[in-house]
Amino acid sequence: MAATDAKIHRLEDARFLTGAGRYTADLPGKDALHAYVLRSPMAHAAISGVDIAAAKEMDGVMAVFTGADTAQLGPLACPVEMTGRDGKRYIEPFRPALALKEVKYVGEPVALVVAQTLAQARDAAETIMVDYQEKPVVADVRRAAETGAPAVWPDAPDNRSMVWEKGDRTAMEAAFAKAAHVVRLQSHNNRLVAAALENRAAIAEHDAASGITTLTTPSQGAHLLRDLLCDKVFREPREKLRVVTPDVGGGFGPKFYLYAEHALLVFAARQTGRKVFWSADRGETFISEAHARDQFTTGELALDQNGKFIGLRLHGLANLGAYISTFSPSIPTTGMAKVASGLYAIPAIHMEMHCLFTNTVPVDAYRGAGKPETFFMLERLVDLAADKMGLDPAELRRRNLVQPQAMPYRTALGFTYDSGDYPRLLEEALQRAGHGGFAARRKQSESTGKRRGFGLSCYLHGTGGVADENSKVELESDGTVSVYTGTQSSGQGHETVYAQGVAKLLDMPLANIRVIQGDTARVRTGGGTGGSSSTIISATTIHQASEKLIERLKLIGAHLLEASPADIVLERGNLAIAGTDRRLSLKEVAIRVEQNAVPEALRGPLAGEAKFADQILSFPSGVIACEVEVDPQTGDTRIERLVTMQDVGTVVNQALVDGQMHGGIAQGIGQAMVENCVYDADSGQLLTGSFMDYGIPHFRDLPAMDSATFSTASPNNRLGIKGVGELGPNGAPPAIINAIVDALSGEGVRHIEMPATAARVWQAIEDARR
Amino acid sequence: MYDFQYHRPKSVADAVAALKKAADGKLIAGGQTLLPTLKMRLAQPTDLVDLSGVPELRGIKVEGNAVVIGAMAKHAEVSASAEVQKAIPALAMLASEIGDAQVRNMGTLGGSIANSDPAADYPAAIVGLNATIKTNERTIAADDFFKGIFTTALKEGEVIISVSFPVPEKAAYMKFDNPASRFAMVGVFVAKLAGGVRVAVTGAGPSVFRVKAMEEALAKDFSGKAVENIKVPTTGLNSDIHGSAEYRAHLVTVMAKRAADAAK
Repeated sequence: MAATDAKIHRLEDARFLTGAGRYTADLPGKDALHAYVLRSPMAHAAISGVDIAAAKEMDGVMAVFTGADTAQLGPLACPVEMTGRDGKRYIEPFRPALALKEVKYVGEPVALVVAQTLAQARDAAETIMVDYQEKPVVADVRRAAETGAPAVWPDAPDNRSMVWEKGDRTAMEAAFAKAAHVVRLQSHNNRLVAAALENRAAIAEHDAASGITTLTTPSQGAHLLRDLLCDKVFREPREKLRVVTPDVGGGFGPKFYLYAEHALLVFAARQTGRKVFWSADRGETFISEAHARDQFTTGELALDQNGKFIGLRLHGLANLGAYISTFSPSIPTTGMAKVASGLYAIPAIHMEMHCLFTNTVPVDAYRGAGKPETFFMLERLVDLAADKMGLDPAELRRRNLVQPQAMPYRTALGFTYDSGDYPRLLEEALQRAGHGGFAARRKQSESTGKRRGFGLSCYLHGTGGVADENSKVELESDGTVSVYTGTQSSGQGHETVYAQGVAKLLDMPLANIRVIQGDTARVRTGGGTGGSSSTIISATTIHQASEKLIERLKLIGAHLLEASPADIVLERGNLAIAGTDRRLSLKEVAIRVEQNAVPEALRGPLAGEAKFADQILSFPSGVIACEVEVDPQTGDTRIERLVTMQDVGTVVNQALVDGQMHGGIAQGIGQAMVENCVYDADSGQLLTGSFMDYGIPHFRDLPAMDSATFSTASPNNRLGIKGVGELGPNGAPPAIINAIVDALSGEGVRHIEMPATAARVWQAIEDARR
Repeated sequence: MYDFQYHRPKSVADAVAALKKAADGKLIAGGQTLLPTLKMRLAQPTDLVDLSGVPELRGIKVEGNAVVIGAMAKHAEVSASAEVQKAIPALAMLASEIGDAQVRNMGTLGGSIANSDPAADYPAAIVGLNATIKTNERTIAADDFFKGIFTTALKEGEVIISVSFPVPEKAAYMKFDNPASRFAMVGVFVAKLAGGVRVAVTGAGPSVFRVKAMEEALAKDFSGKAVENIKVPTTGLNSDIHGSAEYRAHLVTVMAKRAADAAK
């Protein structure tokens, strides 16, 4: 298969599909000790004592650690620097690896037991006596925002970490003052868990001779963990810690973050001098891995008499949980602001976001990271406005889309959309979805007692992340090529996509290229993967590095083949003099260089290195059209059609773009229809602590998806790439809810909150009838 | 899970003996509830008596006007059984929709009804078909078997041998899934038997129950129309984050109507 074929199957697939993937939990070996984390059963309590005397005496127990043992460690700190409207940094409470004097959420680590087997560690943990004095609990974000609510942190007045504003309030208010129509919606964006297949895990091993500890753990970027652990927690040179990430079974955001267990495993390995292994079980994942969304927002959209959007106001209460997680302050703030204008020209926008503490698991970015919250509100407001004005929702959108000739378009909040053809996205989506035939299909559904609805969502993503990239492309002595990069695949197919670019430039088979990631000892720097930007970051930098390698190879080829560098070409794994049959295989070239058969100036590693030199920001965009059929007797809702039309800039691999859309939309369907992470408001106990109570979409819940792509290249990077990973969850939920509300408009239903389970849909019909 | 003594007897008598000798023994059939409970350390039996090696608990056969199914028959075996499909298609269908393929390949009829999960499917068929439960000590009528949430008439040391399902004139089971667990939010088994009509509901209450008003209406006119306006009281019905008692009560009527129309 040619390396340039855009629908290449993934190089990873054989490994993953035959059980040959190597995940952290596959790696500890028989000699590792097992760690068990004792967690708080209380949502908010003071700790007056932890008695570990009995635990220490239990069979197989090697060590028991409490907050007293780890008190000298620094905090699990947040690296995000931003300020609220008062000009001050957000309030960040000290987040210890093990609770010191109090616990702030159910699941917070209180002690670590290390034993020869996991069963022994658990047995010992059950004998630990913790003296808790319960304190008042606040779990609900609306309650946390109220005056007089229980305080999570004494240093955070009114439970606020930060109040953040963006945009021109005066201009926004002026727009509303002169508006012909205003629509308003209050909505809770449901709290979610990521539910990756692979639970978090870690192995730590300390080498006394070198003084270096190796932490093996699934991550979305080994370097970030190393830096935070060395800089903030252990306060030691970064050389003291090596972080390795093997295969990762799903990231989606929560595997990016620093967790207590990372610090605890390193600490335990150093204290015991032994290799220590820990893996969360599913129940632990529910109460220890970062949760997502959970935002209560009021949105208002102002329109003129022609239906032109003239102002948008977003006022939100964002639940951050009990502590600040690695990226959390940036999610309900800049994460939302980037895309607040949607695909529309809205001249005045203002956001006011209250970031609140509650006695719940910390909340952080999950696939979408602020954008799904924004689009749910915006696209619901657009449908409400269309309903109010008696306009077709498609027509109202058409009137407000940013036009291609307006690109690059600067939004009212100061972000610049790089390129795109939004009207084309909308019209092609409508056409592929058979919008013209909808009325007939609706009639057909009604003849069988069902209700049918059509919903749209216009949306985009603002790519982001950390571009601390230094790529290296190296020709090995066996003629294969190693590519070193600092982004991290958690299943997306980076090994394939990055190799494709190199294979094309070097004109060699994909199979001869290996991508090396996830090891701070082998890859010098890296920003990890998050923000739908890995192809932008790595592919462009690897491209530069490949060009540097080629430049070097041409000089060597010119010497070995006795020709001018300008006449040397790379051809099917050979260096050749253009237009002749004189050639040397790359393997021969590597051997000759190794044997020093070239002048001194040309000797040394056959590598090209480059730093990221493009812009990370781009705005991939899309339109989703969705058709649902509702059984009004039960509320049961089936997605009958789902068409997704997107512009992701240059497509490197169409199969992977479609795969990203399919998976992302499945997660969007999850948020829209079944997923809901629920706490008991009074006790702060998690009510959805397993898949018995936390719904996730099953295969039979998913429709056949029609995914189609066209490309307007991004001018922001040399390859024109825009990124795709987060589009699905950004766009799918409002399209689905708009379709359900449309289906039930005849029953008088105007809005349904997520997840639109059958029970909720039925209740909405009942409430509308009353 | 905690340590326990494991026994794999070859006969019911040996199983009972092992159970009686144990300080806190438990029978394990397919283990689809008990094993996760043990793994989560929510139970600590001293002994597990595995019934999978007892031949007399296996088998599916037609005896006169009844289908007799061994307690250790797996859901997958019941759903694939030609005898069950022919005699009581509603029962084969019910078995085919329990859990997922892994659960159906391990879970058993006896294990399910002995556990008496309020949202399990089999209790609806047991009561709906007026089945008889045969144990090592006696036979128990369906209406006397389920006593409440996770509670049955089984005594200590009593082992279910088989269940005898009378072949109905017609029957159907309609289930509405819980969106998370995919257990029955409400499942209604409707059957027209020689002895009359039965309507049995699972999922909606703490344990399976019959709806007499619907049975009477269907006895006069076996059609969905006959029950579509019969409401069940919400008192005592389950209400949780997945659905209110009102919703469950409403679903009972809808599922009963659909079952009556689908019965064959």
